[in-house]
Amino acid sequence: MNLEQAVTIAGGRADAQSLPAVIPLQQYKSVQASLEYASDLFSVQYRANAGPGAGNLHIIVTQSSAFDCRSRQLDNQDAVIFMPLGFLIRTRIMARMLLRYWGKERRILTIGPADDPVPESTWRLPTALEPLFDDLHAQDWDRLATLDEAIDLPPLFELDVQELMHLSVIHLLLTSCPTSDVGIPNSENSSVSVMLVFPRKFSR
Amino acid sequence: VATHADQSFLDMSSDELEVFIGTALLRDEFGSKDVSDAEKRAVAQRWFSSNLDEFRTAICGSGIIQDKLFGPQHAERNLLFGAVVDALGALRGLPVPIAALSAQVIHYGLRQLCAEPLLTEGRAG
Repeated sequence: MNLEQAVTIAGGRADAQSLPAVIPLQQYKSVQASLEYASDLFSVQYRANAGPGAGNLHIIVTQSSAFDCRSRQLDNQDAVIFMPLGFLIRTRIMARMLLRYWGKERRILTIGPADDPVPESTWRLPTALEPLFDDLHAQDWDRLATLDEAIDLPPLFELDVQELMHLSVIHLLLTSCPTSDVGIPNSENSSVSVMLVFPRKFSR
Repeated sequence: VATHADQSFLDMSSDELEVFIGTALLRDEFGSKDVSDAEKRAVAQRWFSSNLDEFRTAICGSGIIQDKLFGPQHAERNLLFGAVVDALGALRGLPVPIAALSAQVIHYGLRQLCAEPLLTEGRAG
């Protein structure tokens, strides 16, 4: 399978000109830039590991509301990692939720004992958080948008949201995406992570 | 030539075929969780649509299929299926079993397929 066929069945490339309103164009472009850089670094490792003839490792954001990365080898000895747009949007929403607590009173909670009497089978996500973890229908962004709109965060935090998105997406790329299946063992990610995850300056 | 086993694809519904084709397309893909049947069907639909022109050229350009489809005598579904298997067999590198794809083409409708203009012609025009 070639790259374009693989992209097509993965849902097509995300289109910067028709993004859902829940992610600002500037933040999308910022994450894209991070992923392009990651793709360059991964490609060097991919060629070193896969041997003569190996090409590039592409990282492509797809127009999909799913939240898990997928990867595949291509016929021309390139490889590709697909990162759904839904993955980026969920990361942004979680960053915004987290930043609501910035500067607020700190409360330390004690985690309950392991013999918690409430059986795991009865655990439920809070209803409002379900869109973050549900399989949504393709390009059904409404539920994520509703959750995002309920987050009361001053616009002043947008640069911090962008920074957290960068760190989160790169962390998830290194730890959760199936990079080892396309020839980059997770143990080798550490050398890449130093270059990718090095935090940029927070605005606060 | 369609075998008896191939014919069993004709007994599958379009939804079942899409799941089967989607599974074949995702066979070489890696992920952290299983793909749902709904996503497999979506994958199959996207692949089918994006390759429709190629299928149309292979199938509708076949004189045998033209005769069976538009000739004076209506051909049986099984005979048409066998002809479609043969026509698609000429395509190289199909990532799904030809018999399953052929059955899906039959579900799509040969008359509809061969009556539609090439998508690429539509775009160009």
